[in-house]
Amino acid sequence: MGVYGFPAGLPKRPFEERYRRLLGPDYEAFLRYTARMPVPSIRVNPMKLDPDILLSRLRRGGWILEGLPWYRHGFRVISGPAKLGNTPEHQLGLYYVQEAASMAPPVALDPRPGERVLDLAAAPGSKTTQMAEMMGWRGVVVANDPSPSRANSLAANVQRMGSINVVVTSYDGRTITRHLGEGVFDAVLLDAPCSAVGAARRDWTPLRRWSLRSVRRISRLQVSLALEALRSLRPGGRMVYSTCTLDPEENEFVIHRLLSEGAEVEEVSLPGMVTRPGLTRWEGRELDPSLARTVRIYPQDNDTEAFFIALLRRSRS
Amino acid sequence: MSSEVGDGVDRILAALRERFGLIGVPDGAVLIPSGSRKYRVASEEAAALTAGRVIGVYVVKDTPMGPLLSIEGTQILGPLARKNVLSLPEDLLDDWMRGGDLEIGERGDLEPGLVIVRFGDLFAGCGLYSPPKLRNMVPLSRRISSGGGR
Repeated sequence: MGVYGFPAGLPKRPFEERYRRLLGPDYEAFLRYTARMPVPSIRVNPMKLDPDILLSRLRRGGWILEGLPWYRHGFRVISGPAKLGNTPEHQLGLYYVQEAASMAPPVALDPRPGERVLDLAAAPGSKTTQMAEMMGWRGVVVANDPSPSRANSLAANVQRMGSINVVVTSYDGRTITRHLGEGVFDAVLLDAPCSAVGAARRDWTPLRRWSLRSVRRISRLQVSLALEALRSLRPGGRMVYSTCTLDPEENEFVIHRLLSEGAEVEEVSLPGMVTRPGLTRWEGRELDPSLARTVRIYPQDNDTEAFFIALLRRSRS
Repeated sequence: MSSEVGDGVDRILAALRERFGLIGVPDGAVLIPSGSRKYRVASEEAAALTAGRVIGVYVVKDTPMGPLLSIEGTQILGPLARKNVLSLPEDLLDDWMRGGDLEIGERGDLEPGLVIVRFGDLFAGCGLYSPPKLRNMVPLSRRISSGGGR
């Protein structure tokens, strides 16, 4: 058994060295929280049932819930009498089991009723269905995942949540504009595939798989996806780029690359959530000062998984 | 829309009107065919896209028993229904979601055949009313297993 209960050999030495450089004095707290299972959380579906009715129903049934400050329909589940995925309310689509920090990227994007929204890497559909609800089931969310099996699970969750304003597609995200056109969306969410260090709170696999080489490989994919996401956006449209990891090469470096393609970084608003500014320098490389408007979410700050979120606007010219 | 497609939608709308007194879909939504005698509800903007492999939500299938609404079909369309809606006590919800048939006796307000099932505020799919029984039609993938519920 390793430090804080990690299995022997985890975290790997190169990971530890890199994250110590990245997080400095915050590294130990990061590691301590990463070793702990997060408190589960749910997002209630206001489109199927008045949330107050559902909440009083769940509380009557023995669930102890605590509201999340950054999303009014999000709740931590302190305790309860059954598995969250095996209740009538879950099976009827009245709530979705969703990690607390993962509700933040849709909040940052703030999709509105009637808009055309693209969720470029959508499976399994937590953020897709959240955005569909934020839009009052008006307008359209195109939810894309290149893997047919993942697109099927996405479609099953869209069905269960009743999201009538969602269209599921299964294209390679790097060529999405060939199929859907350029400049057609009001808003785009790219919750990019990543090294998923934040998700290590639930499962050690990301730490076992981690290597600097894989971070760099994923970073190249992220840049391709982000450039295509930006192209799909209308001039003046907004985009959220997020990951559940903290490596600068998967986050700030990707955003820095978009700045030369007509993207501007805007402030992220997540009321009630503790965030830290994005990096403007890493390992001797200077990044655009506007990257300080991006946010890093550390597990120890809100007792969530780690996240990175950037809000961008495509310039009008 | 081709006339064949339009005929299918008209046919299922007529069947929904006859069986449940339903007179259409909610504002801002449209009913669209989806193959195998199934129909989906989508927002107008979603229905206008042709690129998708799945558009909106499956709500009803045209069956020999009549129009069989999915769980979402009862949740989206059920509040507009005027007849053949069965209200049951909320304490039966767990049994229903486990897939059990229910003994409900003779109900003068229901016609034998497919009925919309609700538990208080919760619409929970269709059942086949064959007095005195209500046959459970909750799909396997949406049932709770024995450890679930309360």
